[in-house]
Amino acid sequence: MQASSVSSRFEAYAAESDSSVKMDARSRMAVSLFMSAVTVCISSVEGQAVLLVASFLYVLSIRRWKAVGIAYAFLAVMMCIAVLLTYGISLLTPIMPFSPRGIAVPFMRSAEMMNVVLPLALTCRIQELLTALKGLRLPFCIYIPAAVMIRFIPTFMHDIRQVAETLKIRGYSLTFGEMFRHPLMMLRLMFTPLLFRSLRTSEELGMAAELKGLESGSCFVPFRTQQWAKRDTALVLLAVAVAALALYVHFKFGTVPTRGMR
Amino acid sequence: MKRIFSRWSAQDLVVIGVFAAASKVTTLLVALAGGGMNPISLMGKNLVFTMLLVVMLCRVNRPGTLFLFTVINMIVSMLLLGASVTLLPPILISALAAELAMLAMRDSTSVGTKVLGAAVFDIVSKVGSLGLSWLFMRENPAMMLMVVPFVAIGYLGSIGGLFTGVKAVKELRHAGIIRQ
Repeated sequence: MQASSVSSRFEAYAAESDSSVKMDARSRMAVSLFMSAVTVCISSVEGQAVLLVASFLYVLSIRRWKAVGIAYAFLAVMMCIAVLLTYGISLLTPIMPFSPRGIAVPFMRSAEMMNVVLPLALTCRIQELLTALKGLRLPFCIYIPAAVMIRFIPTFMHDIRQVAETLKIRGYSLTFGEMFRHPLMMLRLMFTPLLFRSLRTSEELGMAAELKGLESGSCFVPFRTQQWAKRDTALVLLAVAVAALALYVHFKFGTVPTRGMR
Repeated sequence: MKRIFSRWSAQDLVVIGVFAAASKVTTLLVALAGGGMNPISLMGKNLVFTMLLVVMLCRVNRPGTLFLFTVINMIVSMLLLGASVTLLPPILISALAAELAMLAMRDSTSVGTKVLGAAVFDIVSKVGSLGLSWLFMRENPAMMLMVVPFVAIGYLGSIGGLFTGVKAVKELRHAGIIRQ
């Protein structure tokens, strides 16, 4: 029963993965890096709108409707809070008038970044990310900690869950209210075991790395090799074309919001 | 160049990687557990980060460790978490300033030196992040007014982290986990 449920879950995951076009992690990384630079340069609503539409189509291409919906709902809540606070500040300080166009641009930037990061986060597995990092030919002293960091994050989350369960068994309630009533005690209870676990894990992993002969200049053989396909080149070129179009729209038709800087 | 890159042993590099992951996950956890950007979770988040930084600097007692930690954090954030490229200059400047402050001290291996490094890193990076926030929100300066108190509250947490970091290092030395 258990095996069949695992197998059906795996099949569902595989079907979900296959439904979106499989891209190289490096191309998705390049797109997110490129977008983070372009979005800062453009300060008009028109230019940002071009980027937002293109990035929205990109995030829809992965076909993870539920995850995208949750992310957008979270962004909408954050936006509502920020609009209310900004409106309040503008009422108190008349030199800073409230402008819907002015507040739209920072949130368009956030939405664009979310649109380019979600495909990377939702479609790439840890092994693919590690292989992609290896493919970037980073120096040994950067590759090893970066690989450990990516590999250790799920383990660390598992550790946090275990510590939380242990605390619950011992009678501590880890609720939102408790965090407010006893913040220092909650930090100490959660954090001290995690610090010890981190130090212990780093010692074990470090010894394992030394025993395996990992040192500067050693040759790594990736578990799986990744292929840079034509569709990856097409994705990067498309991102460049969208950026060029957005810059053109920004300089030709863009109106910069109040106090904005071109 | 090879000499610079081979100054850390594999064990040191693993410790840096584990602490980079720990700082990312715990700060996120504290922010989520506190229900977002409220003052308590902001202070807690910064407290935990600074404390981890002090412990890591004492564990990997080599010049350049803070800079390497920052570079790795930024590479992973930029490539995988969508952090902006524009974050890079202020963070690198703050890491360099912290390294120079630590080098300027007479005893570069003492806990006080590491605490000074973490303090310089915190203050310079906070000022840099404010400058960057202005760049992102230049269309609406009222939003900057909201950011400044949040950063100031976060900095109070960082100051607390320096003290708890010293305390944690003392305990870890007593337990024999940090040997230097």
